[in-house]
Amino acid sequence: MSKTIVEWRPVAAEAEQSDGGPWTARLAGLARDALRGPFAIVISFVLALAVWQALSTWVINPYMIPPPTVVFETAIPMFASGEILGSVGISLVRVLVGFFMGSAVGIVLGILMGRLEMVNRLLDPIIELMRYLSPTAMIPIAVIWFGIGETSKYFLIFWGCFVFVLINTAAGVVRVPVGRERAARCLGASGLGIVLKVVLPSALPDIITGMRLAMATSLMAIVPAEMLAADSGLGYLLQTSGMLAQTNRIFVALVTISVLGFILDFVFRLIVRKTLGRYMMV
Amino acid sequence: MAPAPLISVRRVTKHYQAKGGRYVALDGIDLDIAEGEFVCLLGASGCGKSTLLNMIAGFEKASSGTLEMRGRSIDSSGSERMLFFQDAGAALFPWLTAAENVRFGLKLRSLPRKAQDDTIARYLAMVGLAEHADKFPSQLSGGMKQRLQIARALAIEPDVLLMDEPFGALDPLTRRRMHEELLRIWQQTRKTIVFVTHDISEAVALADRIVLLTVGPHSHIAATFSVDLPRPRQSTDPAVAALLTEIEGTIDGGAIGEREAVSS
Repeated sequence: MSKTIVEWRPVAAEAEQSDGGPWTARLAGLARDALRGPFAIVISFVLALAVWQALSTWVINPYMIPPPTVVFETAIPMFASGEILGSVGISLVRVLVGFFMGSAVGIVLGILMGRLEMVNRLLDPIIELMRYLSPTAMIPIAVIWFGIGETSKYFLIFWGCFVFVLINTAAGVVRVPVGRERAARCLGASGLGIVLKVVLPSALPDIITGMRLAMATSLMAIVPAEMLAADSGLGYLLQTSGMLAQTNRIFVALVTISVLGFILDFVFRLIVRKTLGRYMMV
Repeated sequence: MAPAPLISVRRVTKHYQAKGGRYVALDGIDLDIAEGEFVCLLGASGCGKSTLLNMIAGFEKASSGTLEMRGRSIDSSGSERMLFFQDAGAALFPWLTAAENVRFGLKLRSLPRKAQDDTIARYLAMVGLAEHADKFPSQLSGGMKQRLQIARALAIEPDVLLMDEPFGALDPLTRRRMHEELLRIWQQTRKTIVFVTHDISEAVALADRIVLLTVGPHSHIAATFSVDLPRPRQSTDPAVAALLTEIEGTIDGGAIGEREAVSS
């Protein structure tokens, strides 16, 4: 795998090899090779599901943690009836609307903050304070301002997104090499041309990083928003399943959210690579 | 009477507000640069030679004194004065190919597409990058990046190249090749070049005239050396060796090493 959370050092693996009998060593060697291969993800999931299944069957009360087979059985009719996809669709639209609004405002304000010292001095202290207010903290006031309709959901996602995009954009804009900007000026660029043709492309890798963080935040923010102030979406599905104490349906919703987040990030990175690849080279 | 200089720097000083008072970087610089001349500003790190170069480029303002080009005051950057950087990786546009980097300045001049293509081909060929036109800067070596920066600069046909230690980050062998290339291009195009360096042998290898600055603060011109020797100059040539010795002697004599008190 190219990207894992912890970078494993081979030294530890070799130390392991020295003790134990010959057949255990061989088994350990096999396992190590398998996990370094291209099927590591599959092995990871299969093992996790097996352990989960075993625990929920023999150790833990299956009502508390329903085994994968039960989650799967629950999911099939929920998919067949369109309940899952309907909720996913509703939440996805909210996430995307808020995400793009937040990103747009974050990019514009970030460029202004990165370029104009006055704007930076005026806004920086306020943003430093505001970034501790999570979307969840803003739910009550959002409901009062916008009601429980779509607008309050857009606002909450927007709120979760824009600070990430803003901070990363401003950092990227400040980091644009002085030499590059001066070279562009000597070549005849000026004013808005500098911003659009030099600053924005130079800061794009940072902006994209901010947008990926924001995308993850949107998915974390949509759930509480829909739990407290909605009658549809994934958060609402979680909320109603919780009220009816249907742990199997809760697990279906949790797995759906995880997979949705993973797919969104994957698609986002794919689009970036296909359309903005040349800007990602440093 | 000598012809009017292309660039004239008169009694230029530059100071900054720093902790503990005013820091005077440059103090009383007088310098004339003729059209087509290759001038090296030679000085220790921190002597203010880059600041002087950036003032000529129009990116920094003098605290007092005047800078003029063709008799007109320099108060902003302009494409007749092309600044040129040591860190080519930062100065180039990494998201554009070599050809697109050169095109950047041509597009802003709204040249017809065909003329752009011809100019790009001509200057990439001049610096020996014709086969690398479609490569991105990250795919080029350090020396190639510098050559691309030269091509991009020359394509907009500036009058003056202002080069800030352009080859300082290159290995000695590549640097020698870049010196040869730069001299060849200079002889071909007859641009005026102001070249900042802290390397005595580099200055001696390249310049028509070497302007030696004292170490800062209160940096000023310690001495100027006219170099009327044929190129390419070999360090084994007695005349070149004598000049190197003379400059080193001036430096060791205290002109560049002296430190004056900071005025407050």
